[in-house]
Order: sequence, then structure tokens, then C-alpha cells
Amino acid sequence: MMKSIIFAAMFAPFVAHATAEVSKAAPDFSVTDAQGKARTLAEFKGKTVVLEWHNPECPFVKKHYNGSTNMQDQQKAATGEGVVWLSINSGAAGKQGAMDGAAAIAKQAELKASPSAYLIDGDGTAGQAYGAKTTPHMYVIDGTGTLRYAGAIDSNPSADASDIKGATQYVSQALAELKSGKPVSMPVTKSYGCSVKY
Amino acid sequence: MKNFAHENLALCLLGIIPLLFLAIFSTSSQAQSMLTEQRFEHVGISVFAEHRSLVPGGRSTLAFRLRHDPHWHTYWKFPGDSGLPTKLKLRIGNGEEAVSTELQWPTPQPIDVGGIHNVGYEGEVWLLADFIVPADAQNQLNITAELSWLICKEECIPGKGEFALQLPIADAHSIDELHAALFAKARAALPKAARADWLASFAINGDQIRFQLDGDLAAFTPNTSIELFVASDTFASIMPTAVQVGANRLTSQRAKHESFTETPRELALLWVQQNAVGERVGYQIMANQSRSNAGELRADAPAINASQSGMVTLPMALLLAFLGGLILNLMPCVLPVLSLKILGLLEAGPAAVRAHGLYYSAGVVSSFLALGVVLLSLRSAGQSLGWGFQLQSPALVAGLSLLLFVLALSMSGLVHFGYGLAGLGQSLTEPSAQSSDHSHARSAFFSGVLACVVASPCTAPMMGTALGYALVQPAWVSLSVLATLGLGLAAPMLLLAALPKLARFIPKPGAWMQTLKHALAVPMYLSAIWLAWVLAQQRGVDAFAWLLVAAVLLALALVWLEQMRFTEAKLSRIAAHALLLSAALPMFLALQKPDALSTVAWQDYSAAELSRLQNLREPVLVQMTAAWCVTCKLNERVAMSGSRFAESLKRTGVYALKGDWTNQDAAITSYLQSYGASGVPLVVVYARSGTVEILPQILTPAIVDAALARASAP
Repeated sequence: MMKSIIFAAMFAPFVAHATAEVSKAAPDFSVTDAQGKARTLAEFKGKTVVLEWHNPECPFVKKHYNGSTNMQDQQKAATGEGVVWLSINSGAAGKQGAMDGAAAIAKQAELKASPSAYLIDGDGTAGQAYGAKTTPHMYVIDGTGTLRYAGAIDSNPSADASDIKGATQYVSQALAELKSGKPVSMPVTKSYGCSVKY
Repeated sequence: MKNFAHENLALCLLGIIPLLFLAIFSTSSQAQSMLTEQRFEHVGISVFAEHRSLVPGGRSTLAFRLRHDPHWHTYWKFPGDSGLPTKLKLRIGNGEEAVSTELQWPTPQPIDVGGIHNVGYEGEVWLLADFIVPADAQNQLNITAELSWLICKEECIPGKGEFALQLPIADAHSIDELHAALFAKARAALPKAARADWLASFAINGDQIRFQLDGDLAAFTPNTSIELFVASDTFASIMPTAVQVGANRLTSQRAKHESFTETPRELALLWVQQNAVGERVGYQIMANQSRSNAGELRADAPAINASQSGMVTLPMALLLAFLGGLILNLMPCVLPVLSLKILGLLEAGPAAVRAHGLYYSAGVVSSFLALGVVLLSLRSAGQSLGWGFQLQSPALVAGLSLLLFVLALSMSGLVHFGYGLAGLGQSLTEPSAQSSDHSHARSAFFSGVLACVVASPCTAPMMGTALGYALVQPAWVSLSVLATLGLGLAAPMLLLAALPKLARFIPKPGAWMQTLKHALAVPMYLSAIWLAWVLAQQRGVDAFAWLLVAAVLLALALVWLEQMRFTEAKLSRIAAHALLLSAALPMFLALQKPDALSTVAWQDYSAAELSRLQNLREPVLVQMTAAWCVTCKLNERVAMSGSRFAESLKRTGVYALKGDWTNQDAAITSYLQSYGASGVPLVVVYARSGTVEILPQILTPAIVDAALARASAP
């Protein structure tokens, strides 16, 4: 009994901190994309990378994809400027929103989404490495591989698309600041959304 | 009461009519103080008004009953890792705008969805909301409640419902008796107010946060686990952690939240326990950041895990207490006393052994009982104390340290008692052959007391659990555990008393005893040093130094008296006694409370913290100081300590950062250089407006006050 308490006490901080930390090196990963190709963070060295945790069935994701085109617009704008945008689905097989490659390709076409790649992280390793909790959950990594932003897509936690107007778009803001060499003014926010279905 | 008949009719019908009719009713002008359950996806919601009629300008309450489908949940105000809190907008009267209205949240429960930690409600939950009747309301008040929520099992569905109520305006509020029991039930599920004498705090230590509740915890059931909810989504990790139950203290430690950005000035904590009928009872209390308990658990509270204490039974506690007492005999502060006692007995002769053993044991047990009675009565008087409380008193710690030191001096043979220092005298440790039986008995009893006194700093390994258990039990249990502990400590002597023949196995008295005494003095000296160190922790390094001065004076006086033992130099003897008494002065100084420096919440200086505060446009005062810098200490004492400075900081909202340059510190050196200063003192004030002011080398309270006022000006 005592032993297990001590053990738990020793490792509790460890477990709690298995997440990516802003201004530290972003964890690398190797995840298969919808086309079946293994993708790593390392391959995009030198480029700014956006990670977007995705679940097409989640109402909070739908707010930005279906109720509006906020996410598609941001993807287009970012990739147009040379930013790599990776949508990641960490839903375990069988859970809501989990898809295989073919389904993902079809879904992306239906949503008119244009990320650089759609990664299928069915065992959740990438999600756990970043501590992704919600869909959406957003991360911005600079060209040196340093995590510069972690948190929500915008400043208005709701599932209602009409709330997008007037919200601060944290990812766009961080990308703009990085581009102009400024420090990211809101490096950490609390993400909101559905739980990632690990 | 012209609506009376209509209302009764409406209420009767409402119980049975289907939703279709309900919709018609709610849009009609019929008075309506309740809406039967409407079904939404995975949740049914009904609305109740507390009053059947309202007065203009009065206050009333609405209750929303949410009945979730099994395994589906909605969220608390702070939903945790994912989810959204339920929100309410109320439109009171016609044409008014719907206004966000605060919900009163019942005690929530932790919800874990595949490693994502949330806080919310399952089953049936009642959310309450107050509203104020417009002063110009006439005839009937229309109320529209827009409730929006997120309901999740693993997948989530946002929901929204609009509920319309009509309540007549009358000359008097009248409670709707039909709803009174429902409102009572809803209010019973809200967190209860904390007791006024409870104190909640949190302390940040690296990436960990320690939450603490101090006070009389009789409201909590012993041996039932307690949960902690923190009213913030971004301060502490949402993952539940065990709550440790100590004597009058709950603690729980959590990692900082990964979205942690800044420390709130205060935040609400909810301590929750299930009662005997399975209801979740929560106590809510505001917690402030504490700087005093940032360190480890203090020695006073033998923290035991609630589930662990659940396994301790009375016989087990008694056994543990006995073994703990037995082990105490081996502690460095007790072993010498015990050994000397046994050796003294041998000198006294075998005949006295039995009586001595019994008197000694009586002394030990009654001292433990006395300590227990004092502790329990202080606790019942509302003091927050745990075992070892006596050692929280710096006076006692200092006194014990000197006592052990003097005993050690005597063992070293530098001092012989019996002349001049009655009470502590030979009667305690060296009963001599020529004493009377009566004084033998007394000396044996008091050496038992002494054993208890010197044992108290040493917490033997097994005592923590037994004492932790004892203190949350009824008084007779607590006292029997303590008495058993005493029996354990007295056991070696009791054994000798029971079997005096055992004494034969101890070598014959002789010169070796002197050597042994000298050797046993060493652990006594070390114990004295340890207690001095404890005092240093309690009262600071100044107190430690004064204690050592007292020890030197004491040693000097005692050795002097020892040398005069066989002379008749009366004057010298008086002088020596005066010297002995003079040791009280440094003791007094040692026990002075450290000046009010500690009341000012200085934060440690770091460049990161300074720039963070500057980014937030907060005014900051930075003091660079060092222990060896007399000007710094003078400035601090005169102008940057005490209640005036503390209040000034509080009033102006200026953050106080202190950098200690006592040891080499490159960060502080570079800070000093950046202001062209080669050394300390340096006091810099950063104003809200962005201007930076370097204060003069010599400070007065007025200078500091004025600087703080300028800094806080927008």
C-alpha cells in the first residue's frame, strides 16, 4: 500500500507533464497520413508547422468547418504563405469521428479542407505526446522546431458558429506575429472542444 | 386572488397534459410557475419558479432540473480539459434584452473520459438562478430563460432550450408551496459555506501546487475519502489527486495546468465528501496564495492518506503505538537518559529496582496523558494542532535544546548537579544512595517525565500512523493510544521491574560507567544542535545565534559554579548565579518574533517574473539586498517592512520582488550592472505608466510611500 503511494507520488508529476511545452522543442512524431505515407515533424524543419486536432463529428469542429469556413479559410491562408498545416485525428478506431485513409480523404473533400496532410493517429501517440485534449486543439511550431503556441483556435469557447465573429483567432495571430519576427503575444490558451477520443 | 382558480387548474393539468398543450399554455397569458419536462437530446429539462406571485423590485429564483440519460453529462462552471459550462440568459419582462445570468452550481463530480478529465454532473441535477423583478412590473411578468449546454457521453451534443414562464405581480411575494420542497432539495445540493475559522491556501512549488485547508475538520467524516475541485480551468491540473487528511489539515498536491499562465490572487476551492446516504457534500472556501507553507509538510501534521487511515483499527493503532514507544528508547535523545537511569538503578541496589521501574513508568505514562489532554483540549478550543504541537512552540524548542545541552554537560562530567539547580538536579538522573525512599520515588517519577520530554522531538517511525489515527478518534481512544505509547517507552524499565534478576546481566558498576557516560553525552549534544537547527527554521538565523549565546553563558556559569563547589567564595557564587540568570536575556532575544518583514509578500526576483509583470503593466518594486549589507537591512527595517509598507503595497497594488545577493548570483549582478550599480542596496520602482525610478540609497517610509503611489498611478 505504502509502496504504491510512494510510487504514485514519484511518478505523478512525470505523467502530468508528458505534454508539449511552449518555448521548448516540440515532440517529434511519426504518423501515417491519409495516403498511407509516414510523416514526421522533422521532415518540415525550417518551416512553420500548424497542428490541428480534428474530429469531423465534434460540434466544436463543425462550428469551424460546417457552421462557418473559419478552419478552411485559415488553412488556405496559412499554406498559401508556406506554412505546413497538419490535421491530426487521434480518435481510436471505432470511436466517434475515427476514420481510415479513404474515409478521411472523402471527408476532407466534402469539407473542402486543404491541410498540407491529414494524419491518422489511431493509437493516439502523437496526441498524447502533445497532450492534445480537445478537438480542435491547436499548436504552432516554428522553423527551429520550437513550440510557439498551444491552445484554442479562438477566444470564444462555444459550439455556436455565430460566436466566431468578434473572437480573436489565436492561430492566425500567432502565425502573423511569427512571420514579422515578433514574440507570440498569447503563447498559451486553454483549448476548448470535445474530448479527443483516445 | 382572481387567478387562484386558473392557477390550480393549470397546475393540475400541467401534471398530465402532453407537451403539445404545454406549448400552447406557455404562449398564452396564463400564469405559469412551472414547465414540465421537455425532452432534448439525452436530457430532459423542467423549470420551476420559487414564487407563485412576485412583487415589483423583489427577488426570486428559478430552478432548472436537468435529467441526463445514463452515462451522459453536462458540465460544471469550470468544465476541465474539454466541455463547456451550461449557460443561462434571462429576459425579464417584455422587450428587454436577454442577460447572461450566473447559475448557482451544485457540488459537481469528476468525470473521466478516456484520460481527459472533466468536472460536471450526471443523473439529476438542479441549477438555480436568481433574478430581480423590475420595479415597474405590472399585472404579469414574462420571463424567458435561454439555457444552453453541452451534453457529452464520449461524443458531445450542444443543446439549447427556451423556456417561458408567466408570473403574476401582486402586493406580496407568495411562495409556491408545491415547489418549496424542490427548492430546498436544490439548495441542499449546493456547496455549503466554509466555517468561519477555516483557512484555505495554496502554495506553488516549482511545477506543483499544494492546496491546503486548515481548521476544525469535524464537518468531514473520518476515513472517507475527500475530493478537491479547484475553481479554475487553467491553474491546476484537472486530474483528481488524493486529499491527505492530517490533524486539522487537508492537503492535496497537483501539477500546474499546462495552460498555466499566472497565479490568481485568490480562487475558490471545493472540498467534497460523500455522506452516509451517498450524497456529495461540498464545502466552498476562498483560498489565497501562501508563502509560509511552500515547503514540505511541516513536522506537526503526520499526514496520512485517508484510505490508508481507513485500514487502521484500534488494536492495530495500540500495537503501533507500543512499538513506536519502544523504538523511541533508541532515539539519540532518549537512549542516554534511559541508560543512565538503568545504571543509576544498579548503583542504588537491586532492592530498589522494582519500585523505581514502576515510578518511572508512571512518570512516562502520565506525561504522555498530560500532553494528550492538553492537545485535545486545545483542539476542542478550536486550535489547529497536530501531534508534535509542543515543538511548534519556539520557546519549548529552545528550552529543550538548552536542557539537552545541560544534561550533556553533566554527562561529560563538566557539571554535577545537586548544588544550586534544584529540580533539574541529581534527583533526575543520578539518585544517590543516601537519598530517602521518598525522594527516590520522586526522582524515578520525574526521570519518567524527563524521558517523555526529551523523547517528544523524536518521532519514531511507527508513531505517525498511530497518532494520526488517535487524533481523529474520540478522546478516550486518543488517550489510550498515547498511554500505550508511554508504556512502550517505559517497557525496558517495566521489564526490569518485573524481572529484577535481569539486572544481573548488566556488568557490575565500575569505572567503565564514567566512560560510557562521556560517550553518551555525544548524542545528547547532537540532539541539542538539532533542536537549535529547528529553532533556526522557526525563528530564523538570528534566534539561532542568540540561543548559542545563551548556551555559552549557561555553560560558563555552570562550570564556574562547579569549580566553586567546595569553596566558600560567596561573592563569586552570587556572580556565577547572576551569570546563569543572564542567559535568560539571549533566550528572550532568541524568542522574539521576527519583525514584520514576513508580513510583506516578497517574491523572489527573477528577470522572467519582472518582465511578465511589466508586460501586464503591473507596477513593481524590485529590492536588491544581501545579508551582509547593513544599509540594505536598515532600509528594509525602516522603510520596507511592517504594516505600513505592507498596507501601502496592498493599496497601490505594487508587486514586491526581492533579489538576495548574499551569495554570488549572476542574474542579480547583471541586473545591478544594468542600472550602473556595482553593489547593493538597489531599489528600483517600475511604474504602471512604464517609467522606471531608482530610489535613493537611504530610504524612509515617506520616500517609499511616495514612490509606490507614483508607480500605481495610471
